[in-house]
Amino acid sequence: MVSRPFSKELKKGSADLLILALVEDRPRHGYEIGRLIEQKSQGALSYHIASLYPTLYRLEDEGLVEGRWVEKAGQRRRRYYRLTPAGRKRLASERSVWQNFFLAIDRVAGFSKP
Amino acid sequence: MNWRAEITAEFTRLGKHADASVVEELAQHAADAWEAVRAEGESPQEADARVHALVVSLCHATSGPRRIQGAPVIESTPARRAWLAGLGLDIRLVFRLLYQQPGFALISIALVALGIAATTSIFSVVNGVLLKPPTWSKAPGLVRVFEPGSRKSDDLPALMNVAYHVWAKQPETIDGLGAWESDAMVYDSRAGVELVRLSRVTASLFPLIGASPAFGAGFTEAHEGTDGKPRTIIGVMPRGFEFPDRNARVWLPQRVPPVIQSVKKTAYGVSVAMTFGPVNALARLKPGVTAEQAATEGAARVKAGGYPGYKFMADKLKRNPEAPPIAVISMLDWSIKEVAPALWILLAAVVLLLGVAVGNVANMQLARSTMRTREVAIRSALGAGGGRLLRQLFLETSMIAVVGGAIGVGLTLALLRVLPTLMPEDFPRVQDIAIDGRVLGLAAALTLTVAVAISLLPARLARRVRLTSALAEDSSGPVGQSLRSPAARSRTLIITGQVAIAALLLVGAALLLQSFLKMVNVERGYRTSNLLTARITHPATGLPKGARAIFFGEVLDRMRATPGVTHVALSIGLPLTPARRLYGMTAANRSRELDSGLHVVSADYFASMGMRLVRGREFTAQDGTGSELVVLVNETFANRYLPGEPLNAVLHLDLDGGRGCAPTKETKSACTNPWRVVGVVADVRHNGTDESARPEVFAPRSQFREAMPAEQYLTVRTTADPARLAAELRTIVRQASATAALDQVMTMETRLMKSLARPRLYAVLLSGFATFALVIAVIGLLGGLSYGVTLRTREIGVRTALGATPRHIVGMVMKQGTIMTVAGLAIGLGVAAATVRYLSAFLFGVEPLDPRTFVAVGAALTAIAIVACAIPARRAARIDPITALRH
Repeated sequence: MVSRPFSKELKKGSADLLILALVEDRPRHGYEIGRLIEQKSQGALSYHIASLYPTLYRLEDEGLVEGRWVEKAGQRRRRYYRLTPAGRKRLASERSVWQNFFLAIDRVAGFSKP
Repeated sequence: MNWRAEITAEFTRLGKHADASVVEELAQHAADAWEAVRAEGESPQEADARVHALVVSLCHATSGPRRIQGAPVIESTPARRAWLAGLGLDIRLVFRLLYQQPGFALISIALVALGIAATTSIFSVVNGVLLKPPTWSKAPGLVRVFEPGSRKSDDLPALMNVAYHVWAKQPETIDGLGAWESDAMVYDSRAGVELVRLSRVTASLFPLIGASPAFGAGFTEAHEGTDGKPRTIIGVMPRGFEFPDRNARVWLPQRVPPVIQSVKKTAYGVSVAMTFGPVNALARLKPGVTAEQAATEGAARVKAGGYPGYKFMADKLKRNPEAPPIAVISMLDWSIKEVAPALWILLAAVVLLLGVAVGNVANMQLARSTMRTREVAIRSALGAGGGRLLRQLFLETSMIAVVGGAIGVGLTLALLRVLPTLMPEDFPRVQDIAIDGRVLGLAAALTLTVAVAISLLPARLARRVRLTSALAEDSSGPVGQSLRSPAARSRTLIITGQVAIAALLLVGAALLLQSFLKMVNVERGYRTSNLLTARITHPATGLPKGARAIFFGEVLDRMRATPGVTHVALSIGLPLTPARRLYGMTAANRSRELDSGLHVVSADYFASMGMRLVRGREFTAQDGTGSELVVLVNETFANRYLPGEPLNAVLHLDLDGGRGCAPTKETKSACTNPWRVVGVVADVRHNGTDESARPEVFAPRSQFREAMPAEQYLTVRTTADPARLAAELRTIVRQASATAALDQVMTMETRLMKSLARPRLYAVLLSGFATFALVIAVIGLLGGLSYGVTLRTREIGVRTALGATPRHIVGMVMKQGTIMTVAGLAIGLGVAAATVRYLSAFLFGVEPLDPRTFVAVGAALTAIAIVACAIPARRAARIDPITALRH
């Protein structure tokens, strides 16, 4: 059922969704985002860390996240990314796309059946 | 590892261009990753290798310049000057916290302000009166010189003119001697007759004390001895020149009378007329000379050069012909010797009071910091270092201390404005009390001490906060934990200390108050009610002889005729005025010198004073200049000098100028007359604070031939309010003589209260401090227990749920309060018992270790403490276990 192009699209879309979701509540810096993806998915999602920054920069170019250098007392300055209003909208639509996708899978495969 | 360089190199190797910000971001990622690998326990080499691989892949995937560059954000102060970083934030936080708890802030500030105001005020008195050099003289080393055995007629110790002249001639240890005498003159101004206080001084005095006129000239020796002539004002002393006291307005030149007045050749040989008189004397010590060395020189001088004079005088006075010792005391010590111990005691009391107040603030701060454990834990979890937390805490307390201290200094300033009116009139150096650098320095030091004191405990405890337990949802510890925590122990110690200080101050206050009441109510030997008194000075210069006697007679007659007056009398002194002493008295066999006070009075004196005649008779109209000379004595005199039958005993007294007795071979050394004792009166307490009465002799003015002294005290016994007769008295005196001055017009009760002004001031101040301390201690006890109950709400709920009755709960809380109270009381009363002897000089009619006082203070404090404990105890008993456990 799952063809190659879909899988690729899925993977790219999933990377965007993960990053947007992680900076939804608070700004985070790059390393933190990468670490959280690894931690939270417990390795289930094969995510290549090398694509993190290109993705972040692309999201930034698209105006979905905003990166800013933040200085704090006693620390190196870090670049924090936070969700823009456009990013929030995109996150909501991505979520509903994935929701529908899960529901479709569920209806077919019957995960929710006891 | 320099990741930035490595990343730049990798990009170059790949032939890519990347912005500096991209390189920086990747370098940080690399550094973080390296830390993470190391944290997994890998070796640095392994970490280097892994991160290097990561860098290669990152650089491979990432490319291009960055189009969007947001402006950097600086979230707080840079790490440089780290110790100041975030200070503004912390200060804002302090204000916010204090603003959120205005009650805490206000009470703390008020306590600190009152404590510091009280301490600073008393210290400014101590500073002005005891510590500052006198304003009227810059000269160091000024000492008062006197013979401990010799007294002037006003009862102050003095130096005899013999000693003065012997020592003033080329002294070695001192720069010179000066003498003075206080006097008064009637000044007939356009506004009316006025009594002006003056001081007669030797020419040597002003140079010695380093005083010189603001303009004009000082005295020379040529000015001395110009008595009785019209005088020219030759100089004006500067403002603030107060010698010997602040009442003096005029200074006249006077010499110390020479011992040898005249040498005459008579038929018998050479007749030498000699004068002996006591003078107030001062000297200035030469640099490096101690008072003891000067006293030694003085005594040696007097012994070597003054002995013949003293021998002569001793013959006349029937005294031991030894040359007297000379006492030398610093002028400053002399002027303050009576108030110094009291002021030090008050300062100690007020410092203790400040301690009690600060204890409460510390306790409140402690409670607050315990409740804020969670906040502190969160702040440290967010990375606030110990130093930052301490700074925050210290900022809070110093805010309280500084604001409190500033208000305290303001209060002191206001208080010092009205202070001169609150202080007794005879209090020395009141005008020197002011806020100066030393007082401000103390206020600043106190403020800092208070800030440290109230932040110390919470700070110590804050360091012990355990993050995990403090942050845990349910932070309530096991049963009883709130009693054993360091915070609880500190709280208990502070409250115990407060109770102890309150008990100590209460004992002192109770003793002083009792003394004061005893001084007021003691049997004085006369009736103070319905008695008007006044001093009348009649100069009689330029008036015919006898004019003074006629004037005083007229005043007596007209006052006696005034409605509401029953008796009027004149005397040379009253109780509570400087005592007059009588010299040259012997009993009938002339074997014993008598030491007694003297009163020369008009016939109605005893009736007007309300004195009680014990035996014999009073003076009558028949006691005149021609009749047998009679005196009355008091009971102490009779008991001491006339054991057996005092009536009709004959005393040889040097009174009324010896009634012109011609010096014969027998009487030349003691020109006395026989005076028969016709009555004995009950003892009169001369001073307000005398423990016992002194021997006194009363002689009738009507038998005196010599001219009446210019100064007389009038006593008017009335049937109604004596103060109402004051106006009448003024009119009568003014009409009787245009030049007589009337002052000290006051009821005997006023005179008594004025004389007791110092003991009253001490009693009132110490009582005020003690009451304040008691209130604070009780609030501390109440607050501490209430807070303890709040902390133990859950525990009490558990106990109640497990079947503890309200009685148990009440008992539990009461026990805690009682332990603190009893411990505090034991400490306080113990310290009081050990230190109360410092008060003994101020006590009258009550023993320092008066058991009733100690028991009463203990009982009263216990009773108050029980009430204070009962309130939180009842609250604890009413805790609903369901509610308590649900929270």
